[in-house]
Amino acid sequence: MFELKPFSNNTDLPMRSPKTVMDLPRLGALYPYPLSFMRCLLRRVMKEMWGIKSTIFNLDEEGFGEVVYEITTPNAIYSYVIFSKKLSDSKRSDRVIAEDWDMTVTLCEGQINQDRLEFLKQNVPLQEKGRVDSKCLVLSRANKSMRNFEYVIDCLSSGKQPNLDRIAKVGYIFRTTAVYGSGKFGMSDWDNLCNKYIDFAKPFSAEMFSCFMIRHFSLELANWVARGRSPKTAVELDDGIKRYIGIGNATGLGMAPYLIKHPMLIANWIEVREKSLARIIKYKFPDKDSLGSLECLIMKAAQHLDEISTDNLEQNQRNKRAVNEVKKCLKWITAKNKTIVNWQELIDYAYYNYHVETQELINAILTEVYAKFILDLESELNIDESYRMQPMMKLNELKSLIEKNYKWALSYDFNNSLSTETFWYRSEEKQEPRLGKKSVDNGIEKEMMMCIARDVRSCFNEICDIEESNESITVAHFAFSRPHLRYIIRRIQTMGSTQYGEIIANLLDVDVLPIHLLRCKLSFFGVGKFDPRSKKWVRNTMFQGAPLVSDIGNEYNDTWCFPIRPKFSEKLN
Amino acid sequence: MNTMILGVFLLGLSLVKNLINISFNELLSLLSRVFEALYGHEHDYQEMAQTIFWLECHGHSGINKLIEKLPELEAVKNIYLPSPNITKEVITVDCCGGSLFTNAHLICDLAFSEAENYGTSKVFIINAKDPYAIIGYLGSACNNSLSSYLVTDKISAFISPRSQYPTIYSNTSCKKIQLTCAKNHNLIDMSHIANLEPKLDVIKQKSFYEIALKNGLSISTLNFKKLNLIADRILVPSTDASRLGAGE
Repeated sequence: MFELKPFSNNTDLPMRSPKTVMDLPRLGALYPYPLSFMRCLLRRVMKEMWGIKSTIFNLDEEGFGEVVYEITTPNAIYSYVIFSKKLSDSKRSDRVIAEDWDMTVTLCEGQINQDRLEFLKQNVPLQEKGRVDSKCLVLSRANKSMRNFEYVIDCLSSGKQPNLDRIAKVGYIFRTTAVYGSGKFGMSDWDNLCNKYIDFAKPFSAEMFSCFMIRHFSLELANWVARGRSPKTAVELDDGIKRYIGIGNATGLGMAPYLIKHPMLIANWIEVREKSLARIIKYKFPDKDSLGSLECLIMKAAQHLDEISTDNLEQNQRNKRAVNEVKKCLKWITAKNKTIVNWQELIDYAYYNYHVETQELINAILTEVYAKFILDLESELNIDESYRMQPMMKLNELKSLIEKNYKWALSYDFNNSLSTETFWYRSEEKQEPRLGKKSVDNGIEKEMMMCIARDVRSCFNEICDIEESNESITVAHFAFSRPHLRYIIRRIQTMGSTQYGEIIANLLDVDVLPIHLLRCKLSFFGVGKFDPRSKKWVRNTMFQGAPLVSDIGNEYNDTWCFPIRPKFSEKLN
Repeated sequence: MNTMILGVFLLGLSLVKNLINISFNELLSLLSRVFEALYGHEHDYQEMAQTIFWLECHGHSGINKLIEKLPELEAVKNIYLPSPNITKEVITVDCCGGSLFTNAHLICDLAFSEAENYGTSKVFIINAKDPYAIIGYLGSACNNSLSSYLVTDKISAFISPRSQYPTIYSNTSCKKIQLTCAKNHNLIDMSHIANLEPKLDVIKQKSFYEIALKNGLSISTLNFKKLNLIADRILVPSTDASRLGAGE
């Protein structure tokens, strides 16, 4: 079950080996950690005390209309523009192919005048079918949670706070179904954003901020509609409950190609994460304080997992197993209290005794214990991506590179039809990525380039077909007559300089679980409470437990990881 | 001041009804899908896209050049090049009448590789169309250690190591397309351009790029639609069954 040598010793930090880290089921077990993007964002918002106030709040009693929030940072002013409309229940869908939403939004540069608002009003509600411009940084939409929104309004309008058990089951009252940035539909390109809008010059920072603002608006909207329905009896949502309400998110296959298309970026994010852990292992040692923090966080994480409500049997089992194992681990720690000499001992123990979910949970908890010690690594999350050909490389060098870094890819048997039964393609419906079965579905001739392992294998086979005496020819000569291999050669060469190169998986396998890819990326966003709806899409919760806009300016403790039910429920209910 | 005027001009252009303003990311993604639709995975379609993209966002009208060429690109499906003829002094690549938009990168790879190994390389490109594509690739490749010099019948271009901006000269009299690369630029014979003023210098291209990055690129709506029509060929028709492929 476990690789015998979890750590490689080729750097001065005890980094885990790519073989261990990049294995897809492990990537699918990653938890948010202090350098997850929404955590990075909120540290900045709170530290710099961003001003967020509504300048237009033009809603009817049912909450339909438009709202503009003005955001003032030390560097610039932005506007967050929201269009809220009535949507019939039958039109409400999490799918990217939906055409209508309860709320559509954009984050854009500067203040908004009437002309600008009118332009946005003509385009933002159309989402993919509209056009915005380079002054817009994010385009997004969200739908009401059928389970919670009306319930919360009913409670508030009748003068009661919502029941926390009910809130805990879902965790949000609105759910985003797509968050677009980086130049989509005419928006600002990432390079422009990095240069011009430094407040959002970290990965997915603007997108995370948009989700934070949707959460803020959803809470204001709940109060507004409750007051509109019953001005005399309505009460405002309690701040403690508000903090416990996050923003929902539905993520599907669309996120998976991103991970395959941007291996340098993913390798870098993983490396920063691994460096965080390795740094703790090397420089920090268990003592009374750290063991105390660890114990508290383990208990909090266990409760957090216990409180997750999902109909997905497998996810429930994973959560329960992680809770049991992490509690056992706590007992082990308690028993060994005086004898644990370093954190490697704990990690090794988890590695050899618990499942991958628990191992990664413990790793995430350790990074939380020493969050301040790793925060400087936040500056390493950005990277310039470029996959350039190195044409002068000798063919035998390329072959060695494959043998060294892609042994995993060469281990698959692509002659077995089950190894290539799955294919990925883009549907004509909004270019939505979908999975097909070769033996059943149409579209194989238009499959996406998603299987790095198979492409590497093809390249390796063709190199092996070259006579030994010709192995010293350059890659340029080799690719000249084999242009179909040039793309994978560039990739192999580029990723050769990264430590955590590729996701170790055959994405064409009949049993591939794309949900691991989704969860991997979502963990870097900082998302929790995974509620898989199938192996292809997952609901989750963002910003649950995070500070509110009204908390900006107050003392900030970056400790809202593993959100748990507030303790004052009895008093309020 | 010139930068500001160009910025106002570009913004003004985008307001004209038949232009659409698109981001770099959108353009590169669109071009990538166009070349994927044209050639499938048999060629490095992303590099082809990158070449046109570079030309467009540095003020070389890459999209217009591509649009003009599209009927021909659509008609000729076999774009494989015959093996180059390699002698000690020169590599000769016969493009058999084809466009360099589809294989400039392969030819530049050869030139770079030879120059890296032997200090200098010279490539004659015969029976080829669209030599401007070489400029697009030289710019996007941003070679770390080589100077490159391209001579065609209409233009010459020189690019320094690590630069993304070739200097372009016009009015050369060379009959064939010739690409020379060298670790030491003194080894390149640039007598063609010795007394010429640049037609397009580094500053203009850089400025065009920066303004376009800030404001987006304005391209003709018609061209945008033409490209999308081709790009959409990589999409699979949707059915009730296929909708399950994203997880009902």
